Amino acid sequence: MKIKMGINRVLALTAACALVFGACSSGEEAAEVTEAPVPEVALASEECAIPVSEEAVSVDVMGWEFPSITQYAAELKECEAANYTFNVQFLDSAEAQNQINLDLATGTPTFEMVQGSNQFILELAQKGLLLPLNDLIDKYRDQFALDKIPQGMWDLVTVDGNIYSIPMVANSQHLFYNEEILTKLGLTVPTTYEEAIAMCPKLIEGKYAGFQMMLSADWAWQIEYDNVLGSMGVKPIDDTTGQPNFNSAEGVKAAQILSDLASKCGGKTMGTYSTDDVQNAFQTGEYAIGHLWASRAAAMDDPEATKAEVLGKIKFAPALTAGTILGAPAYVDGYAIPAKGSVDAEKIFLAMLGATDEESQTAAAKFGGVTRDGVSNPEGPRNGEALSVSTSKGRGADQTHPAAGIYRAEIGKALIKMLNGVSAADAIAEAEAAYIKEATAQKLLS
Amino acid sequence: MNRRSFALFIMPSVSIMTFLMVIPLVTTIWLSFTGLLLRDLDSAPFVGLQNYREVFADPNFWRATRFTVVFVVITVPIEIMLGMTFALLLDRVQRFRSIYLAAILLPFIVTPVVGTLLFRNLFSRGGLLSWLIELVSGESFVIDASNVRFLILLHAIWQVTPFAFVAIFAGLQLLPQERVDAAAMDGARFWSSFVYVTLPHLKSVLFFVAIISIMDSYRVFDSVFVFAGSRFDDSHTLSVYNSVEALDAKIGRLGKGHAIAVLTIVGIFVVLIPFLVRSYKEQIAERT
Repeated sequence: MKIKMGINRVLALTAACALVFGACSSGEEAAEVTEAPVPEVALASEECAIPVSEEAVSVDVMGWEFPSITQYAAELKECEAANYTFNVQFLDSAEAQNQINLDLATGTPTFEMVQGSNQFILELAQKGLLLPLNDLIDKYRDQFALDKIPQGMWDLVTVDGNIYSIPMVANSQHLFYNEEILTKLGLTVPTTYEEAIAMCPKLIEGKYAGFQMMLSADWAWQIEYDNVLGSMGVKPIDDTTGQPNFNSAEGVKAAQILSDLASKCGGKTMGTYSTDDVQNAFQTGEYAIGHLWASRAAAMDDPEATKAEVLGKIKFAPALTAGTILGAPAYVDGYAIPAKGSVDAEKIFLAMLGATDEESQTAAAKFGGVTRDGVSNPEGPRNGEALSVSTSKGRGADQTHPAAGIYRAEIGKALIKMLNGVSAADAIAEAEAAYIKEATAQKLLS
Repeated sequence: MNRRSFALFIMPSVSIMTFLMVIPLVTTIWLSFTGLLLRDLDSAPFVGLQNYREVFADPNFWRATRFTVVFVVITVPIEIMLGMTFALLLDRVQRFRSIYLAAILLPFIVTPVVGTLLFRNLFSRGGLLSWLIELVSGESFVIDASNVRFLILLHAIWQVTPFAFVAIFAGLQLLPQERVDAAAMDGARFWSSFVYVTLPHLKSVLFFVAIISIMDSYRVFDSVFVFAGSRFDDSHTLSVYNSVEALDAKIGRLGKGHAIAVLTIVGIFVVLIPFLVRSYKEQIAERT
């Protein structure tokens, strides 16, 4: 019983860890690398240009799947020619994050490599659960042309000067719309949340779903709320003190916008459709317009998964705004190495490099955004401009204050109840009380 | 058997029980008095009863406790009654018995979390049952506050009834046929035979099924987590409450989580005490 086992595991692992507190080392472990120049050795293959390991290396990888990640997992498999074995496991994103957190918290992680978004990677890094990669990055910077990854991407996976991942997937959210349907209904592409809400009656009258976004999970509410609030130029919590800003008038207004979207546009599907369901709804013509992850754009041109009458008709536009900034996050995904792992960190890092090099990113660009300058794929999705504008003019990365995780958990739990009829003001008040209580208990507010 | 041999015989099981149950339990109790955080596992400051005070002051804890008790009170009797009904029916069937047996056991054989997801998908948009409900009522069906508790209870009954069934069915196979025949010769009809012959024979099996079902229901997690999520927190049980309020990786209040776990264990004992007392008395009576 997987989930029941998860709970038991929490108790057992923390209990076991407590028993061996004395043996648990403290402080961050620096990557053990030598300063010696990289020796000339045989490389595994053209697809994975890393040295063949003398001894067999077994790597367990945990993460969650979407098309770009599937490609990178295939790139990891290519590195098996270097005497590696990869056991790549995918779970639902929330479950994968819980598994990784618990595994790494034991102090003797069984995963040698973990995959996640910058938000998740930084949360792990702040708990001291990941290995800083600066020395390894410096050592292999030239050989793997790591300078082709822009500094802005590195910043997303950096805490206090320590880099914890190699950014490989660039992701954000933007508009998806069926141009034919909008033209038929005499509607134009909205640029603000207000316009999006205003177009819903006409869409519904035309027997289509209103403006849609994935709002069936608490974490999705948190991301969309951050988008709306961020587009007003407000950060949910203070970067330095951790004190809440989301309880301001703008915070309530942002919640009200989402509440209106749910009640006036969403219909019954908004509270039940997963990200996959929303993607499928566009592919089948059920949805005419909505806000979705850029990583889902390539699927719109997949003739095997998209209805013939919809194929090629889904267009893309930058994200909406409720102020002057676009309501779009800057996300990157990447692999990271757990601290205190049992396998030589340099060997794991080389596999990461082999799976995310220019050749690998060119292949991954077929499915979504990549991070290296100048890398593209002629078969890649058509959302390049929408993604680029949304990212560059968007709200930016999630906050990294130690209390940000608590904020994200509490705001999501409170806002999703608006689907049950809770008012925006009450939801924000509930989130504020829960956040202050928990962050205070954990001594994270100043 | 002398004391030394007895000690040697029980040592392996006592050692395993100590390692797997006693040490984690004691550690859990100790950690429940600390402020252990997931983001700082290197320090577990002693905070006394603070975690317990916080939990007792949380209305969500009492709400979860109430729903957990309601869950146990509703599901366990229904599971046992349905299990008994299926067992009695199958006991009378000879033809295709193994096929019926496999069909009834299916929910019990499927990996619980897979079974839960399948069950949810039946009621999700596009699911078979949701489509049927839509067909009959003319209105689209979605999981909402008005039906989520019902679905959680229904799922538990669907999933656990086969356990009650298989235990009772096994018990029925051990019922001596001559006792049933003697009752029939004395003029007993089905109901009399069931009450005076079958039920007394199944007493210990039913006791076992009840205890296991109560414990299983009390710590139910997966179906509640899948159906209720964060949205329907008035349908949380104690295990899910613990997961959402303390053990969620973003919050990481392990000390508080251990306090909730200790309270859950205490709750199970409180519910089981009448059964345990009765079992103890019966064992003493059997010895004398």
